[in-house]
Amino acid sequence: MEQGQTTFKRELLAVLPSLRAFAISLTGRHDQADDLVQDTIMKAWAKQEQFEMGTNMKAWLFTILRNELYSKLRKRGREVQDSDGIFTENLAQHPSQYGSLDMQDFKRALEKLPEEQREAIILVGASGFSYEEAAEICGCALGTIKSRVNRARQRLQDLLQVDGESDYGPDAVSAPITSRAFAS
Amino acid sequence: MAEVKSVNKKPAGRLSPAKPALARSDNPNTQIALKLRSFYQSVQDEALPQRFLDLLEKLDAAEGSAQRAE
Repeated sequence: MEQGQTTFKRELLAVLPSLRAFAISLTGRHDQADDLVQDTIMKAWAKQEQFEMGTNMKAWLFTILRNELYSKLRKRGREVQDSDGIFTENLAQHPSQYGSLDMQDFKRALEKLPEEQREAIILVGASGFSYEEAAEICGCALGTIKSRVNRARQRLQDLLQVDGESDYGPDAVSAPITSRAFAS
Repeated sequence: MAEVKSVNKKPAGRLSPAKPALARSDNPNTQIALKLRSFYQSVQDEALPQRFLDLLEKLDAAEGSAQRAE
């Protein structure tokens, strides 16, 4: 038992940086994210008997954090009819936390995504989960996760006006011409 | 003949985040993927707040003393 407990703590610690990055990416706010992480640690600690050592601790913790977030949002929604309040932009309060202007733009764009698209693209595109694992964490079908990720990518592209070829001046002009030339 | 076929073969539609290196650098999906990862990474690289370490210490200590009491 003593041994198992030490392993549990060590594994939990190892996941914490990524768990916190997930919380911050989801909420867009360090203070709320850290409260969320704290609640998650306490929940996980209390439920550690339920965790099977050797299985995916990271996925387990992410699932707990996500459930905590949505139960908070639901409570909040009942109280103030503003379930989006948690996501309000507060970039001005933490301008230095995100190095470049580019990063700040990205963060702002991420905040504009619907919650379910945001979590899907973070889990798959940044936290390192497979589509299958992300589906399990979000409690939805594999196809649903895939389409959420695709929609999130599309929306981010639109918001950040990244549309490939037009970012490369001369290519935007020459690409259609060359492709026509090759087609004929 | 076989060679031509493999050249024409398009990469399977969706960008796999597991293999970003294979994607073209001017692919907008890749730009989004890179930005997302670098944003996430920058947060992940922040020092872990001391409150979490303290909390784990406390939980650990509480559990230890509870077990000794049993």
